[in-house]
Amino acid sequence: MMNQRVLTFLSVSIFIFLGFFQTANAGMVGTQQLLPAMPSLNLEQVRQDIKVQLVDLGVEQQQAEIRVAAMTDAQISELNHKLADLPAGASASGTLLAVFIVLVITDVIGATDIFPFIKPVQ
Amino acid sequence: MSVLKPGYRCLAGLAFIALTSCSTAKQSIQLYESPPDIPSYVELESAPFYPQRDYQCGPAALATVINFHKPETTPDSLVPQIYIPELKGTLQIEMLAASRRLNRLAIEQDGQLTSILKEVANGNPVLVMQNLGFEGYPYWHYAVVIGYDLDKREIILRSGEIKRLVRPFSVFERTWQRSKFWSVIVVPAGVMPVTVNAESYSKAAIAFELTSAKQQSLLVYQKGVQRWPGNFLLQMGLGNISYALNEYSEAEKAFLTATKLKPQKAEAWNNLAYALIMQGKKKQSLKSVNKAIEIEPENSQYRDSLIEIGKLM
Repeated sequence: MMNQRVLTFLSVSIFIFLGFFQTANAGMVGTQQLLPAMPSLNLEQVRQDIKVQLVDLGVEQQQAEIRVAAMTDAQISELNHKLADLPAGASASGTLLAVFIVLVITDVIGATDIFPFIKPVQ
Repeated sequence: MSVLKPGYRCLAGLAFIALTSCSTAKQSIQLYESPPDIPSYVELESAPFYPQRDYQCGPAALATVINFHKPETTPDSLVPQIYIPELKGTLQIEMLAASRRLNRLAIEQDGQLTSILKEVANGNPVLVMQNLGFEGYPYWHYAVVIGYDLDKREIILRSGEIKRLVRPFSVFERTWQRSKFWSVIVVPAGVMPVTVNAESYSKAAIAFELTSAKQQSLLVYQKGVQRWPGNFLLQMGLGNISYALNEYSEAEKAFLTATKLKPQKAEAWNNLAYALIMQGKKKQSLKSVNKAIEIEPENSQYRDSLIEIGKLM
């Protein structure tokens, strides 16, 4: 009995804490809750981790907070532990001369598209 | 000589990858064989162009799709919102999140080249991610598809520093394929793209709600329900947002539809009970919340609802 109360209290406070309820009544089921259940994660902790990671990667503290707040729970769990490994638009490794030559060739045959001035041969 | 060897080896390796990946532009081939029923040439010339600086193709491409419908932002003001200095780039997730922060619905497409073309024909530019290099030597890049020419088999993009980059479908498909065919439509609330399904739309709507004004969200759900009246999630979303705006009879209507669509979903009966009690419909409300408890007797949330509704009487 006691346990159940504690559990109810905990789950209710976690829900409120996570901002699940946009409505005046705590008993309403929020739309986000209707999505398939997330793997068991402490989402709030993951949010904190991602914020710290963003700051480590050069994002300003205040911006990092706003940016993480704009992410959905699904996105937060997707980012968990792999932020730095995900593709980030406009990141290329350093170009070596040999690689440069290869890329010119592969651009010509249309396998890559690194150099906009090269028109692929059809 | 020995210095050059590793280079040659690398060259051979990359050339092999290049040759194998050349044979895989399947969607482009299908496009020639059975072209979709769309105009043969479309170009959204009014799509704004922001030449990217340094590594900032993310902010530039995002500003293009966001400002297409009405001016809202600049690449420079997007930089602090989405750019990650150490990664020298922008994550896909943040492209979506930033769109929402700027009052736009960001909807992921189904990975079909024809979906991109159909949406462009419908008048919406499409944001894409590409890997212009290889799997092992990635050059991640964001661009915006603004047009195509079926006869010439070409796609037209706003890309990097090029205002009008024209590429064969097949070359585009190969570079796009390496991002797992990631493409996104970014539209203001109230605009319904033609190439999205109920699932991706409702996912975008729920995310949109997180950071948007309630009136805007209401519009998003109304449009969704109009197009997919049989979608449970959208009906629930419409009910919840109407309820949050104190539009209880609208909420009741949506929740009631939800209970008809999925009579075994306790959530719908529970929320319906709240919409009813707020209109003073005590008897119906009690009946509805009891239905939720009947479906999920173990769930304490619905028993709490019963207590709360009792207090509201």
